[in-house]
Amino acid sequence: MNQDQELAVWRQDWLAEEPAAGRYQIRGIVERGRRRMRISMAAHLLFAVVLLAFSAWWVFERWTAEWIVWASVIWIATLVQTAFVFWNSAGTWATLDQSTAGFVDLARRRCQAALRQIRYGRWLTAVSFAIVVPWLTWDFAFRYPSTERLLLGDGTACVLSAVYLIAFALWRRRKIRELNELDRFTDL
Amino acid sequence: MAGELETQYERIFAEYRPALERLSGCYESVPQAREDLMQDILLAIWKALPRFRGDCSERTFVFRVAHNRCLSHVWRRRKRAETAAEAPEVPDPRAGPERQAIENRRRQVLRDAIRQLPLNYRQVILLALEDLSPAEIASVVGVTENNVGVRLNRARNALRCLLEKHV
Repeated sequence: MNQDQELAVWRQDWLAEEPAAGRYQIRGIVERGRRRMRISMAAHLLFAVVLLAFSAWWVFERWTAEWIVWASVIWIATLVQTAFVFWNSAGTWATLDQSTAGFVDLARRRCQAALRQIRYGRWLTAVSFAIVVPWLTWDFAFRYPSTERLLLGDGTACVLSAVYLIAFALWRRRKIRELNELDRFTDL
Repeated sequence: MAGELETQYERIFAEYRPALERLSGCYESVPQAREDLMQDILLAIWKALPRFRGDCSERTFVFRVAHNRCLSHVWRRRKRAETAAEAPEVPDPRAGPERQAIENRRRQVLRDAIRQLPLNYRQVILLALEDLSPAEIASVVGVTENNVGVRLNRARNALRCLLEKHV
């Protein structure tokens, strides 16, 4: 049997296979997809709006240079993060109809961008920790002395930083695994 | 416009569903996960359809989206061993029980062997089995036709070896 005949025999077997009896409601799938994206976007927007509104209310209630600086930092960080989420979700769909070579290239660049984002996030966590903990310690130890608030404030900062670092570590591990898979694919 | 798209999508769904089912079965062996992958593929086609401008054939477009979605599924999922036991037996109502069993077994062996191929080879052999021309495969994969020929040849040799092991 020559190679063409061999492929023809395999093709015959292959095409004779009846599809599994999966029930796909097209409208349901589309609606679910739309709903999932809308909910995800709405959740991000809601989080951003609540954070912005809360910080705005807080700073107007306590109109001092210190709180204005804090509110500005929160506003800038929230706006940048929200813009990134929207940009990233738009890009996810924009690449699927490219050829595999183009798709692999983009997937790799996206993984590398995510790793950069993780590095940036780790630095941001470290910097905010280095600012927030001494500031809270100074605030509750000298300005408005309160052991309870001091422990609560510093404890919250420590727990939040640890949670962020663990999340970044897990995210990084996933992205590195993805990059390894991509390398294995292109190395063949 | 939206109505036109929905009509086009429904036609694509009806026309390519068996091929997409076969395709997802070669990238995911667990039935529940395969159904999820199939839904992801259908959703990805729906999302990509408004950008389809006819710069390639519809078939090429559908297979591009589907393969990219499958590859991304494989890269992202947790590592686990692929086992033949996970593949479902698909009854064929057209043949008698004995012949049906033999044919089912042969198809299952072929599917399991394809599943064991490296992704690069799996992709070209799947497209060739779906009867895409070398030019169409090149357009899906994003390589030259010569490169498709080389990969297909290697994939065929690898598949033959795997099938011989099963016999």
